[in-house]
Amino acid sequence: MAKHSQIIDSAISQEYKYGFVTDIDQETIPPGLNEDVISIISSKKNEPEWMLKWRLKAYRQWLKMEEPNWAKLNYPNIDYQAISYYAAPKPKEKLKSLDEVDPELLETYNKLGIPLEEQKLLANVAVDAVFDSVSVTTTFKEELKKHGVIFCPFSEAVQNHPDLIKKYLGSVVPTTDNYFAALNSAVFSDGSFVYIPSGVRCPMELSTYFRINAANTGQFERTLIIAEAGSYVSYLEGCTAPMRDENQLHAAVVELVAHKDSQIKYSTVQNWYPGNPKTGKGGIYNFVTKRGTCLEENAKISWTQVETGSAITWKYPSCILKGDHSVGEFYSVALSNNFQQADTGTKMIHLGKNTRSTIISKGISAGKGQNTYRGGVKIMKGAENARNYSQCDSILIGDQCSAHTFPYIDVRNSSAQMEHEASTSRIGEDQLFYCNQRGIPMEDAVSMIVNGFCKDVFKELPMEFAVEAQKLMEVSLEGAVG
Amino acid sequence: MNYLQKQFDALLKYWPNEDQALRDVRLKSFDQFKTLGFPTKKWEEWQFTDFSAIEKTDYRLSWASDLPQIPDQIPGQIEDCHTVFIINGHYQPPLSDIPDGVTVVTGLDHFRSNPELYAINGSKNPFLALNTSMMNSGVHVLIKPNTLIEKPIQLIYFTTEFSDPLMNHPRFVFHIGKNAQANIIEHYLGVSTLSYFVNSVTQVILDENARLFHVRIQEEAATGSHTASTHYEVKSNAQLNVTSITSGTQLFRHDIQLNLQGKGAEAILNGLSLTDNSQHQDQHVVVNHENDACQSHQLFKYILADKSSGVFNGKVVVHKHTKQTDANQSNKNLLLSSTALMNANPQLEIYSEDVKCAHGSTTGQIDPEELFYLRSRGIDLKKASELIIGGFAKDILDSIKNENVKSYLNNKITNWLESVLNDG
Repeated sequence: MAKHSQIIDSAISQEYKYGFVTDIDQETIPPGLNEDVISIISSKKNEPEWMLKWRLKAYRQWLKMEEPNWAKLNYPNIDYQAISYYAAPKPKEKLKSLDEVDPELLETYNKLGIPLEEQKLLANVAVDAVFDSVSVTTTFKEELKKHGVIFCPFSEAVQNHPDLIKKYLGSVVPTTDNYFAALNSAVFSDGSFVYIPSGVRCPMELSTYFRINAANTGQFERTLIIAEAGSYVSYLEGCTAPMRDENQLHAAVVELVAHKDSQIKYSTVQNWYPGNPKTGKGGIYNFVTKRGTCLEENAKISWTQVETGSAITWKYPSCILKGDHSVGEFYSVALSNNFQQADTGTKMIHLGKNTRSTIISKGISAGKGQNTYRGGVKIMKGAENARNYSQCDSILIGDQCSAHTFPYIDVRNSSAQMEHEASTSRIGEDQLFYCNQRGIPMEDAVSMIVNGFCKDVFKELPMEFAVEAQKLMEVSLEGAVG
Repeated sequence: MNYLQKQFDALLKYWPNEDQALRDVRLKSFDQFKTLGFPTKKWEEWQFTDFSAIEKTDYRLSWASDLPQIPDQIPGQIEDCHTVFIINGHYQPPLSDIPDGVTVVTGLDHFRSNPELYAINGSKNPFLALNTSMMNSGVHVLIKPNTLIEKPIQLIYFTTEFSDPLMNHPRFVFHIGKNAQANIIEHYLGVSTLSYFVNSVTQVILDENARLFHVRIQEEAATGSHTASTHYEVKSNAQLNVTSITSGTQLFRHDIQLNLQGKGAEAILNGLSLTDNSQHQDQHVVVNHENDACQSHQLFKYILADKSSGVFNGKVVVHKHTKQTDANQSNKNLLLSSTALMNANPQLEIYSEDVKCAHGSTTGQIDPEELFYLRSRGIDLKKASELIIGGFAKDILDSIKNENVKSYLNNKITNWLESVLNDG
C-alpha cells in the first residue's frame, strides 16, 4: 500500500513537465485588473461593444463588493492585482508516443480505466490518424447540427448567436450575484454554450464530445446552457484524470435555463490539483457559482457532482423552481483528504406550485480534510404543495479531519412538506472487521465501504463516468487508512 | 440605547455601596454591551429576529416600589411543589418554601463566593452582557451534595401590575452538588396589558453523578418580550433532563448552551414552542461534546398558527480528541396556517472521528389523510385536529417523570390548542 500511495503522491505532486512555453508566442497581459485590462480582453476576443459594456458594468459592481468570508474555509488573502487575467492558450510540445510519458502517470490513468486513446490526449501525445480528434469532432458536429443543437465555445457564440447571449447571459446569475460571479463576469476567458431547440433530445451525452474536445478554457470559465420546450440534454464537465493548472484561482459561472417540459442534467467530476499532501501548499482555489432556473412548468434540472480535487472548494449548484411542477435535484459526493477544504452544497428555491426537490449529499473527510455541507431550502409563499427531501451523510476517516452540516431551511407555506436528515459517523470497526475476516485487505475494504456510501450519487452519473468515479475514490483515498 | 444608559446610571446610584468587584463586572459588561449593540439582521446568529421593539421602548428597571400588592392567588402554581416566589423581580422569602438540603442565597453573597461564574469572557451575546451589567433579581439555588429532593422546586417569576414599561434582568444559578438529585421548575409568568421586558440568564451546574430534571416554562403576557440565555455545565456521569415549553410573549429569544464537560455525561433537551397571532419565537441551541462517552439527545417542536413565526437553530459541536460520542438532534415543525413561517437550521460540527451523530428536521402541515381517517369515523374536524396536534405536541412531555408537572403542562397544551382552533 505504501508503495502505491508513494507512486500516486509523486505522480500528483511532481511539477508538470510535459510542455514548455516560448516567450515569443505567449500573449499574456501583465498582472493586475483595471478597466483597460478588461477592454484588452474584450478586444482580443474581438467582442462586440455590448459585451464590453456588460463586462465593465460587472467590474464596476465588483469593485463595490466585499469578498465573502462566511464559508468555513481558511486560506490566505487573495491578491487580485497579482493575477494575470488573460493568457492565450499555450501551445504544448507534442510527445511522439505513450512511451515517452511518465510511467507513473500512465499507471494512474490505468487505475482510473481511461481508454488508451484518451490517455494519449490527456498526456498530450500526438494522436494517430485513425483516432484523429478533428475527424471525430467533425462527425459529432455534423450529428449535432442535424438536430439543430448549438454547441460551441462561448466566444464563438458571442459572435454567431448574439441574440441568444444577450437574452440569457446573466439572467440566472446576475453580475451582482456575488463577489466571484461579478469577477467572472468582468474577466471570463471562455467556456461552453449549448442551445437545444424545442422538442429535441440531444443525440449524445455532451460529455463524450467534451472529453475529446477538452479545450483549455482557462481559469474564468463561463457556461450557458439553454433547453427549449420539451428538450433534453446531458452535459458533463471535468475529467477524472488528475488535472494540473498553474492558475491558483478559479472562478467559474454556470447558468442553466430550462423551459417548459425540458430537462437538463449537468454532471461534474472535479479533480484539480489539491495541493501538496504533506504541507497543504499550493492547490487550486475553486470558487464556482452554478445555478439553474426552471422557467416554466414541468422543467427539470439535475446537478450531479463528484468533487475530489482542489485545495478549496466553494460551490453551491442551485435550482430556482419557478415553473409549476418543476423539479430540482442535487447529488453530490465531496471528498477532502490531506489539507483539502470543501464548503459545498446546494440551494433549492421553490416559487411555483407543486415543485419538488431532492438533495443527496455525501461528504467524506480523511487526513486533515475539512468537509462542510451548506445548503438552503426556501419554500416561498406561492409554492403550494412544494416538497423537499434532503439527506446529508458524512463519513470520517482518521481523527484529525472534521465534517460539518449547515442546512438552512426556510418555510413560508404551510402546505409544503420539507424533510431533512443528516448523519455523521466513522467507518464502523465491525464493518471493516467483517471484510478483513473474509480476506479483503484494509485499503480495499475502506474503498468498498466508501463506494457503497456514495452509490446513491454515482448511479446518477453517465455510465462510463460512474465506473471511473468509483476508481477515482479509490485512488484519492489511498494512504488515508493505515 | 439611551434609556439603557440612563437606567444603568440609576442602578449604580441605587446601590452605591455595592462591592467594588461586582461594580467592576457591571461596568465592564455594560461597556461590552455598548460595543456590541443590539443585534441586527447582519448577524448570522441573530438574523431572523427583529429586536427594534426592545430597542425603541423606554423600559425602566423595577425598584422596590414596584412590588404590587401580593395577589391572593398567584397563577401557575403546580400542586405539591416547594414554591419560591419572585414578583416583579423581588424575591419573596416569607411566601416561599425551601426544603432541607437546599440553600437559597442572594445575588451579592453568591457573587462573593463565585465571582468566576459572572465573567462574560468576551461573549458575543449582547443580552448576556446586558444582563450581567444590570442583574437585579433572581436567586441562587444550591442542592447540597448527596441529597435527594423529592418534590419539585418551583420558581415562579411573576410580572404584574405596574405603571410604566418595566424591565428586569434576573440571574439564576442552580448548582446541583455531587450525587444529588433534584427537580427544578423555572416558571416565567406575566399578566399585564403594558409592555415589559425580561432578560434572564440561568446558569446550571451539575457536579459529578448529579441528576437534574429542569423544566422551563415561559408563559409571559402577550405584551411582554423575553430574551434568555441558559448555560448548562454537566460534569462526569451527571444526567440532565430539560423540558422547555414556551407559549408567551410577542418576542422570545432563547440561547441554550450545553457543555458536556465530564466523561459519561448525558443530557436530554426537549422543547415545545406554541405560537399564534404575530408571535415570534427564536431558539438557538449549542451542544458541546467536550469529553468522552457523552450523550446528548435533542427534540425541538414548533406549532405555528396565524401569522406567527419560529426560528430554530441547533448546533452540535464534537470537540477534537473526544471518543464514543452519541449525539442526535431532531426538529419537527407543524404549520397550522398558510401565513405562518418557520426557519430551521440544524447543524453539526464534528472534529473527531469516533462519533455517532444524526440530525433531522421536518416542516409540514397536518396530513389531510390523517384528518380524513378520523372524520370518516365520525369525529368532527375540530376534535380530529385537536387529537392530531395534541399527539404531536405531547410526546415532548414524555421524559417528565413528575405527574403533577406533566398534568399542568398537558392542560396548558390542551387549552392553547382549544383557543387556537376556536379562533380558526
